[in-house]
Amino acid sequence: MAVQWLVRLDAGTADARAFEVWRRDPRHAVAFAQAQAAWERMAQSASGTEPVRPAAPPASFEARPSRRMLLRAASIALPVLAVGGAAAVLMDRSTAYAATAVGEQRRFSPADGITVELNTDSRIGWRQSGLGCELWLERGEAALSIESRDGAAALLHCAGQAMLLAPGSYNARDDGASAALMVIEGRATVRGTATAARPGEAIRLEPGRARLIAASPEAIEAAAAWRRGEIVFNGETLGAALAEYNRYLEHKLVPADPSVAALRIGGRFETARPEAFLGAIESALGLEAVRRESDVLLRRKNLRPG
Amino acid sequence: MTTHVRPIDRWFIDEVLPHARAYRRQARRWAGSEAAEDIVQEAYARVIALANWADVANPKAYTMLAIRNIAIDRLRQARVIPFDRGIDAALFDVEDQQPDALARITAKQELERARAAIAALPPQCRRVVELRRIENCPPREIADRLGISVSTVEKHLVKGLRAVLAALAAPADIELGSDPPREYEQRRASGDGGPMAGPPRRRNG
Repeated sequence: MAVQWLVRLDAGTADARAFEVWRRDPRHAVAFAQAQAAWERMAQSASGTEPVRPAAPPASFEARPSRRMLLRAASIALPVLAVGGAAAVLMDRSTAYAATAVGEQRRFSPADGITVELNTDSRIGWRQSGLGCELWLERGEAALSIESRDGAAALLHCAGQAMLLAPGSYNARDDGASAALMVIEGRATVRGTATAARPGEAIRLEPGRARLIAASPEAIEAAAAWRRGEIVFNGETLGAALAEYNRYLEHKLVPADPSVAALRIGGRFETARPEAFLGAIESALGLEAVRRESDVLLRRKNLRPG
Repeated sequence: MTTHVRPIDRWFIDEVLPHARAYRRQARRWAGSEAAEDIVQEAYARVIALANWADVANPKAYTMLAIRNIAIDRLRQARVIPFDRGIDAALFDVEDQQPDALARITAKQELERARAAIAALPPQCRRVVELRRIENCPPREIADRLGISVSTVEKHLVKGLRAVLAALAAPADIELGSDPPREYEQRRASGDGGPMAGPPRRRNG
């Protein structure tokens, strides 16, 4: 009984009042204390090991050695103090990373049952532990597909929040200014909270805060489109559209003035064919592209006077 | 969890329980191995019911006294008073022993036993135990991430904790009132010769 009481109290599933009634019997109190002592021994049995649960992967991987190349640092072990026989019970803590250059997309499988599609200029880290796969989207955008026979979830860290992802598919994006996780299939739960997103919903991620929102049809379409190498505009301002398309471009497209940025644009474009996009803008909006050293200026065509 | 560990429990775990082996050994000497475990448990029950536990200067000696008194009561009830067991003489042993050294050895051995017991658990059970107790992962999260129910997590933890308890002490520590199996007693009697043999007895006065 003492063992069951302890485990249920620990899990928060016990009736605390009933427990106190049970414990009034001194023999029960003794049994409980003995169970508690053994419970504490369990934690100490990996002596010297503090629980290692980093909120983010180590920042020591700053260099981006070769662009246009999947980076996989095989075994960057997190600092673990393993003393004595503790190593035997530690999980595999090696962390790996993948990154894409601007304009690049990658698809790979970091762990059994998990597929990651990494959009342009993005970086993601992952680690296998006894709990399954843990991922960190450091920047950019990733589509995650999680399949598991036993229903096990993955843990995704993004913008300072940790989310449990049930089997399904998701789109996570963190462009620095804002971050969100969209559920396409499955269920995402912010760890330690009741905030859970279902298909068609998204979790807006802010430091110290996670908010459930409805995913707009445009956002849902955009999440599917980029994986086909497409980008879809539905009447956004040119300023917003360029910012989006620029994620894929080394040489950014810059509106010459606010009136140009305020123009509206619609249509479906390919992310890998900026020339076609540029051509469409020029002809549809009456703009001309001026190539400069590090970017491309979009300005109204100089109409000849008279 | 800590909310259910009262100050007296903390004191009991830290000051009284570490000397379990010394109590058992002494109880065996005073009352025989048949009754020893039950007497120790009864002494524990008296100690943990103390209202003024904080005033107890030497918890180990106090527990030994309780064991001695219970042993004497039982012997009287049995109308057999084998003075040759040296009850009064043995009382002084309480003061003479080196409690810290003995407790340290016990703690080290207990960790070894706990480790071995965890290692011997079935894989999924072991995984849950390690996640909860070593990785400090909340039960809800373990359930979510392993795709099992919280009650299944609890079952694994109960099983694991029982195994560790059994490894740490005689089974009588777990199930009150049941007799310690012979096998365990024999193993302990023969196996822990060296440091567990106890200090040489000295008579004071």
